[in-house]
Amino acid sequence: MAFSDADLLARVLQSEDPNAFGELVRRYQSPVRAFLLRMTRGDAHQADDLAQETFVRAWRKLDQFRGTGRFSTWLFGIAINELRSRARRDRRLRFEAPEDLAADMDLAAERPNPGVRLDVNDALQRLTPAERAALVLCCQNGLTHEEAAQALNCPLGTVKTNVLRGKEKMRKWLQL
Amino acid sequence: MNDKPLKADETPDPIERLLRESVTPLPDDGFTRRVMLALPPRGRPDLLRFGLLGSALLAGAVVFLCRAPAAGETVLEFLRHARHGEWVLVLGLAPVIVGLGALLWGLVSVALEES
Repeated sequence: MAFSDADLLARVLQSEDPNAFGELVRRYQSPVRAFLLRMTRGDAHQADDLAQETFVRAWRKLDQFRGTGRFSTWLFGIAINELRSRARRDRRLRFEAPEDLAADMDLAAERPNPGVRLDVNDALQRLTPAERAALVLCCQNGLTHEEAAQALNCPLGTVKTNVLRGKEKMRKWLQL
Repeated sequence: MNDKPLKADETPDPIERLLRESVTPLPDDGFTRRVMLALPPRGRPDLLRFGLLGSALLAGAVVFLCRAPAAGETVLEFLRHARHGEWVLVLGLAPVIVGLGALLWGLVSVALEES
């Protein structure tokens, strides 16, 4: 019998059951690690390190989870905070600083070789980090725009714009 | 992860369909075990931190209140020395300022972390 997230959370909070938390980690390790892998441009070591910190922080702050939204949204919010925190030390990970955005825009504007179709993963890497985050959260992890805005701690309009821009660029690069 | 995940053929946007199809679940490869080993005891570190900070503040307040007139005179004495250019004595205040700064920094860090 599969327990719901709410059941597992209740077991962790009421009886500090680490096995229940272990089940939550097993359930969400793949989407969280995959998201962080995208955001660290494929640095698996860094992504796993950030993912581990995400789950440890979630464990420590579990009583702050209000239960009004989905657990996955809350978890992605923590992952993004960890990423932002790490980005203070490693500027390659920044996804909001104007100078880095500009650099990413240059990369994004770069035309792929004529006649060469990029694959989805290459195209995703060419997006600005903010567009990539919005697309990965909304299109690959099934978050609504509102949930993505909550996780990214940014206005709803920004998420919608980033999703639209990201899709538009990918459509062009993938020649769809 | 959606309550009602969209099926690929129900997604009208080809980009969304491609993105959805490009998701491959990552194998655990011992990740969960590593996380479980790294988990701290729940709640205790914060209690310990607040306990230490609280008792330090309380002890400081008690000492200050008990010695208030003397402490006031000490500050005035330092100011008098500063006016007469005796900076060595004034430098004696530096550890106090550093200590207070560290305490303030700690409090702000804890508050930021909790928020």
